[in-house]
Amino acid sequence: MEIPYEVTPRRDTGLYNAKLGVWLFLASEVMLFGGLFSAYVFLRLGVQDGVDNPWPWGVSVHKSFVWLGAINTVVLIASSVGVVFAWVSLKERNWRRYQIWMYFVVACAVVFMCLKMVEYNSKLNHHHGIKLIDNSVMEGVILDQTDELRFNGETITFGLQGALPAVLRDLDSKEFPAFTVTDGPEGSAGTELKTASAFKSWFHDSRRDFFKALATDRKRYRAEIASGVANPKPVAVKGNATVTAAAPFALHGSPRKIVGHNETTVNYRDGVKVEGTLISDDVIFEVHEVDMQLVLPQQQRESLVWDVIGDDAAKQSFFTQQSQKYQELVSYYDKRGEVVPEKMLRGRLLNVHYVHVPAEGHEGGEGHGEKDKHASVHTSETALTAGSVGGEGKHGPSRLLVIPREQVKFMGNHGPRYGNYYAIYFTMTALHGIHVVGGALVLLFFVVFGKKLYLKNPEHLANRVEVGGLFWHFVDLIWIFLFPIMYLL
Amino acid sequence: MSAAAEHTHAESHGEHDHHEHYEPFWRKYIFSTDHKVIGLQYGFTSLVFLAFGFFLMMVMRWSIAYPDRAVPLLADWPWFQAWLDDGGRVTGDLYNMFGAMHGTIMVFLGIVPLAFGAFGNYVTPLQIGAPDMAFPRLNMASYWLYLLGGALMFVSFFLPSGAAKAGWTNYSPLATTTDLQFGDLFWTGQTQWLVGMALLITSSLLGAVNFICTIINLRCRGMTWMRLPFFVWAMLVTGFLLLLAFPPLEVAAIMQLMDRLAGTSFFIPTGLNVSGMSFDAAGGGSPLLYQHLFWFLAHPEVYVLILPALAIVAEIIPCNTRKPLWGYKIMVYAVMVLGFLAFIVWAHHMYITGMGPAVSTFFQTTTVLISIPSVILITSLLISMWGGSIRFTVPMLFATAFIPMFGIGGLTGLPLAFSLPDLHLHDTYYVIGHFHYIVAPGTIFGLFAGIYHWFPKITGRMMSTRLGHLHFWPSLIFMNGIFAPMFFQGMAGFHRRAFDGGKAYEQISNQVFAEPNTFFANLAELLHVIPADAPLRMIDLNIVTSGSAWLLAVFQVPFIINIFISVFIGKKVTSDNPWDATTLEWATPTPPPHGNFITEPVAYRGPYEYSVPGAPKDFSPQFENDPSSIGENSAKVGEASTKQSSAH
Repeated sequence: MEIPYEVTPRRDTGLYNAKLGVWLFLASEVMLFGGLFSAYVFLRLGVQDGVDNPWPWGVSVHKSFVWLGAINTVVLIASSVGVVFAWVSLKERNWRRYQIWMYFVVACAVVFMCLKMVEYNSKLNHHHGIKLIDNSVMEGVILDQTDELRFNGETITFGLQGALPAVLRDLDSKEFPAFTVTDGPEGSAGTELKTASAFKSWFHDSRRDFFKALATDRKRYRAEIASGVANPKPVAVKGNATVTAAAPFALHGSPRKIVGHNETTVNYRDGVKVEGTLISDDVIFEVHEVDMQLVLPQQQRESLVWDVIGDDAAKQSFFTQQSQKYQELVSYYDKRGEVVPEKMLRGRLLNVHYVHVPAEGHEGGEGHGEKDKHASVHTSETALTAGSVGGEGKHGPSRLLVIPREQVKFMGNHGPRYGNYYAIYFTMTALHGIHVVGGALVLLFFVVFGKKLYLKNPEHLANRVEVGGLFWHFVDLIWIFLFPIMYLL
Repeated sequence: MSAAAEHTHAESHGEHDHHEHYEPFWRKYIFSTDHKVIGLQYGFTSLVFLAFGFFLMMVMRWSIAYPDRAVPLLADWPWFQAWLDDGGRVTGDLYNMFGAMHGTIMVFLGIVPLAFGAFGNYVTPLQIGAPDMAFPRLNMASYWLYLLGGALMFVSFFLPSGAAKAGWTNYSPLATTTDLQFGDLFWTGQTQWLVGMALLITSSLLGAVNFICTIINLRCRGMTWMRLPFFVWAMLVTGFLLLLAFPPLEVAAIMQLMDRLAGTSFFIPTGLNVSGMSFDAAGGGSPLLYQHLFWFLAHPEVYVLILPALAIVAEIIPCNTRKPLWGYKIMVYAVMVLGFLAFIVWAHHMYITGMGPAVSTFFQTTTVLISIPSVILITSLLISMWGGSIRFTVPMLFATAFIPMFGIGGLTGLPLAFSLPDLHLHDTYYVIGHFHYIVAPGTIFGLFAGIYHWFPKITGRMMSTRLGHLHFWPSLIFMNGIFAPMFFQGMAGFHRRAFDGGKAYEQISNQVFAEPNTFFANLAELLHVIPADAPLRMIDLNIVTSGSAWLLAVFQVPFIINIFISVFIGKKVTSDNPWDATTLEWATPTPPPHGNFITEPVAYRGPYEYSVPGAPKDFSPQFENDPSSIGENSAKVGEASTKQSSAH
């Protein structure tokens, strides 16, 4: 059985099946990205000044990345042109030239993805921010992932009804602490759980037994009610357990899973309690920028952030820069005979400034704004700061701030959860990236395994390349929209 | 039957054997690319899911009718221990889970796959005279993606978190913050719902592309646009609805997945508190955005649910009234207008979200406009029966019942279209009654009709009429028993999400529906719903509804038996066209082989030429070139066929 119009177009519609199919598919893709673009507009227009995280200006977020984005735009356009030439070569039955163009297209895709990785890597690993409880924000680097709690655990108390305790994921499975069950379902006390897998299987067995026992007891309970017993004994099956480690184990608690902690206890979101000794819950941070957009102007001088930084010169430098910018602003609007709009007063221009906290012994290296361009290459005092990031070498080493956890409202890298700009940036570019990879794989398939079909029916292969090329153009087009809204506007 | 069909049959076999090559079982029936096998796979899977969704609802109905009593039969099952309380009663969590999954399963895993996947796949290529779908392997992929998505949804019940619990609409931030206590966020029901939906959406998209391509490009010679059976038109419009409406939901699913797994705040507003604690997220997101994205799909989805059933009914009515479909062309235009308007009515689900009166006014207007094509469709079907000598076969019974049921569902929707009455009715049982009248006795009756109608083509045997009647009449009664009381409860103020059936709200639940010794009170007394001489209160209607639901389940047994036994002992059909119908699917051998038609089919005339004056029979099939039975729409055959044959 053969499907008609697989290669030759149907006369009255002028289309072969795959071409019609890919146009329809692209229509649905337009709706997919259209939904995301509308979400972008909706989220950006919905930002409430002074309440929500301000939408960062593209340029200020990306700094050097605008160039990467621009290069990527050129790369993708070149590859779109390349795929047309590949198709033309096939139409001219020139296999060699087709190969060259097709590999060129795939190479462009590889370049595109590599540049993308550079951007992602920088955002995810080298840029962090901390919002303090008075809504002032410090931009910089959280060192060595110390946003985690460091805790010496001794016992873990958990329920048997739900999932495996989340704390197990924070333990090192290679150096799994040997646990002994100290309290638990009947007959389980004293059981030794030496490996993670032993723990898991014991947990699942106990869970199953728990529910079995529960079913039996409930049956008894219901029967007693049905037979009219005055005060039936309530259902009571022990559903929790405590395990104790032979030696205290190191716990690196990731903050998202933890709902609260004190000197002796860590409470996990899933109701599991770990007892032991807190080593440290401080966050160690190298500050590069202070962002006061969410703090009222009259409260900025008393902000918590200056206590945390503990360096008067840094504070002075912030407000010097602020008044400088304010003067510029006033004179700009004076010339036009206008007053400075409220929005500008709360905006990024006045409220985000570079701040440098010099390490002890380097007081002289303290910098005012952009004056200090000739400082020596950054030499960090500890291994922790090695490779600290982003060309901050110009002001000498920074002092590491120790920030108590209770003063932190929100913190993280510039990953998707940092704010809505980052969320939509990562979601859209990643989805676009998946399209690039998918399209490139299909085109690679057409050139690596295409020879057989080429010899049999070159027109069929040309059709496939045409269809793949249409998709490739679409991917290109999406990027042409993404680049301005993510990098420039 | 007709000489022509016998002729093609006889001549065919040589050629047929020639083309047939050996295919192993798994290739022929499991990983098949034949649209008919895929259609049957869709059919069976979706019927299983329909039964499962029905089961969930029956457990919920127990909790509503008897919130104080242990659930019978299920209280000792190990799985239920985590979700029932000590007395064996349904907990709020279980009710929420079953409610959310009932909606999801019925809509996305039950009715759409049955209507679009099963009937669309089996019937569409046959009706347009195509050998298969345009992309057979893509077709197989859509089925397996659907099955995978369904399997994930099903498996999520057995996770420690249970399945999704935030309603079938999965509104954020509730859906985002549910089940966050689990360490492994990926393997929670709420997340698996999103993953499952992403798979189902992908499956639907592939299906939609395939259907539209098939209908546009694979029509046989002479099958011009206005000779397409109405079913094919409905499939085309449905395909476009799925193609363009589903991607925004995919966006919503991706964004909610990011909210859950990557900690973004797309739908999380600033300053959100969950269980008295500040929620650890950047904030600044918009819950309203989720609702817009969701309903941009979910309103067109309503038409995806209803159009195939309506179109099946439109096939069955002319065949059984022996009259042409009244207003075929106007129905085609109406369905196109309906498809277009379906995209601009979505926010009528969101009147009470505070999106503003200007927006509400716009959507009120479009919502009222969309009732025009709907009424045109249903009225045309009604007029089609006027003056016909109707054969009340079992499919015709279901098709006939479809019209008033759909009518009730549609008319009760009018108050909901206006934002003012919607303030009162929103989220009450009135809404439940309204849309279930459309999808349960409406769509499902249409689908039953389709099963009874095309069963002889699929198996070569008729389904039992006696069992069919035993299925139809009780179903009709109990469907109304379930959904009619909901209107009264809803207007009285019963909220749809109360797992105790409204018991906690005495002022509402004690309102009297019928005074003692009136007809309804006596009837309820007779059925032991209320004691003697007591008024029938609103809350007592819960028992009526629940009882009807369980009885409805009982009377689906004849249908299941009918399907299975008729395959083996049903009356054999004596011809390829047992209903004396006119469309092309009846030109194929029974059951149709891989590749469908023995000789290349040609459409000589319009799809519904019944009782053409001067014709020898009361039906003139599209595939018979009999000059004596040429109807008004039969011209141009030669012209069209020569034009297209040159393209070959």
